[in-house]
Amino acid sequence: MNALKKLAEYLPASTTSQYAQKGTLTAEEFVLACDNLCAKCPQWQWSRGSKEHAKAYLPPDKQFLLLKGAPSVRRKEALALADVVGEALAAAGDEGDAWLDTNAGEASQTAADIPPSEPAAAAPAEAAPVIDLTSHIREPAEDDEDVPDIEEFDGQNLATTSGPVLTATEPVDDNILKTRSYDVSITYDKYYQVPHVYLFGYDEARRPLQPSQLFEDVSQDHAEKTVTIENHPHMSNIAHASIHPCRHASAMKRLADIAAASGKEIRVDMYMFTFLKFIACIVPTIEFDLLEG
Amino acid sequence: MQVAPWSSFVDVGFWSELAKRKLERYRLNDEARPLVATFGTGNAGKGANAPALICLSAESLDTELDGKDAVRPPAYQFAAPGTLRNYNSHEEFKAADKAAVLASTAAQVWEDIHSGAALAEPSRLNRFAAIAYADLKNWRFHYWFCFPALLHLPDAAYFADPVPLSSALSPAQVEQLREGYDRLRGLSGGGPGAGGVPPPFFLAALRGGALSVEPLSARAALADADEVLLGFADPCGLPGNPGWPLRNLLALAAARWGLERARIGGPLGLCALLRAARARGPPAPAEAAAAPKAAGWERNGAGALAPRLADLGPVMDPARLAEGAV
Repeated sequence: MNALKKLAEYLPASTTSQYAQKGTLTAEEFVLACDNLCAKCPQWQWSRGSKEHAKAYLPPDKQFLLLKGAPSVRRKEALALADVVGEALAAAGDEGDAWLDTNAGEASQTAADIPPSEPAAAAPAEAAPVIDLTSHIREPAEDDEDVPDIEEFDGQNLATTSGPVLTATEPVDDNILKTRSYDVSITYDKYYQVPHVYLFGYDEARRPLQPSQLFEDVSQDHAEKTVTIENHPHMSNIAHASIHPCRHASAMKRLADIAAASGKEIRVDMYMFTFLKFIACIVPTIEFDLLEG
Repeated sequence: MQVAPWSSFVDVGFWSELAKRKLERYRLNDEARPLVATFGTGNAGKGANAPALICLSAESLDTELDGKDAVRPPAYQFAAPGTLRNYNSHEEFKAADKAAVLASTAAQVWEDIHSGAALAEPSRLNRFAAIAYADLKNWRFHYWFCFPALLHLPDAAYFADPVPLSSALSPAQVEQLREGYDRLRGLSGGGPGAGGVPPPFFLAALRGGALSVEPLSARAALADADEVLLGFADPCGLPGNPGWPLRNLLALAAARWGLERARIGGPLGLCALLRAARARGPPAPAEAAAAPKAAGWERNGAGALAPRLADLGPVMDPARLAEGAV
């Protein structure tokens, strides 16, 4: 399989649209659909990546799509939503072609098994209309970052006393929600002819997450099956969580069929909007579906 | 009046690119290199959940605000120029003279204010410096950012409580603000910002109820205006506090224009706050005085004045990745 994929990189990219038949995209259709997403949701940006990894079948300044710092706060509601969409998809498709499971036959757990890892996740938005700024300011505490002793930096007159500037960056008040954030990038997978999603996460203090921590934000049905740890094609030395694209085309075809049955058409330039709703089932806690916003 | 500090957000692509350049190009050369960070203004009203992020990514390295390698910040984003000095050893990193880095970066901002360079290129007011040590044996990156804020007007205070922009300006004026800013940054009509980076600082002049947006350099031509507003791209989400960039804008206004009172438009007028500050500063000196004191080293995740650490061993170290892949 890997050899085939490598070979695919050297073959000319397909230019005949098979979207209607198979749910796949040509590279041109990928660029068109992503351009449309960027226009509607400016949080998404094109990235040119590093030159050595540039793919010739994509424009140099449009190598992959990037959403930086997507928050990951909602846990329970998001998982419930994933269940609903998942059921709709499962109901519409035949059992043998389970769209969400690349290792068919393995026992799948329900999303409800996932423990909410942040108890404070309830009611984030309405929690803080009034903010007591003094609560953000605290004495330098035991250092949980692995950094040199604070005293090494003393006596250099770095601190300014109270007054013109706030002196803390990290609110430590328990009422203030701590959120992880994710960089979500979408490349074009030439072999499967669909978008390929890679995720990289940061903790509340914006430190990189470890690979094992990434799975906490992945629906249990998909962790280590659909979602694996893989190097990013444009950042070859950095492991990302990769959402394996082998079932993307059939899932997209099915979503288009469901829409068609109710008299709606999902045009190819609208592909990414539907695609992100589909991806949201796999990583339900990451807010990158920004259409509502 | 207190301003809310920047929060640096360095993405993993930045460290990946820095590691590569250190091995292939910089080697033992540890001179300071230009850097461009980007930030956005979308936090207004989100409160303390939304820190004022200033972001570094792979594209941030070895680039300037202008020139052929210029960084084009994405739509609705702004650029800030800075420098990065990457030391060769942890000892050198720890021994770096932080006070001198802060003082020299602040002095550059002060000089740009007095030379007028900051009027022509307002992004210069957001200048920053960073130091780092890349431990490539263990894939651990120690780093520390310094965002100098000139304490030129240490006793600046509100003369009225901050109110949302929408209640301080009429809907028509808000619309004029948005249209005017789009023109200024070159989105329409080929304004002064056309083809360049969008200016994070600007002026808005009120004449008989009509609002027009002008570059900082047009201050002298606005003598006939009823009122001149200072505007800046505010990354801060707190309702009662403006973001870090305001300090240097007030320093500029006081030093060059003898500002005493200012009304300050928030992040481009979109769901923004109008912030009012009283600035009682000394009158504009004829020549550049010594730079005022400045604050600026960022606190780490624990709230201490100490460096941050990005441990990328688990995601970059080939040996540990192989272990996890079994």
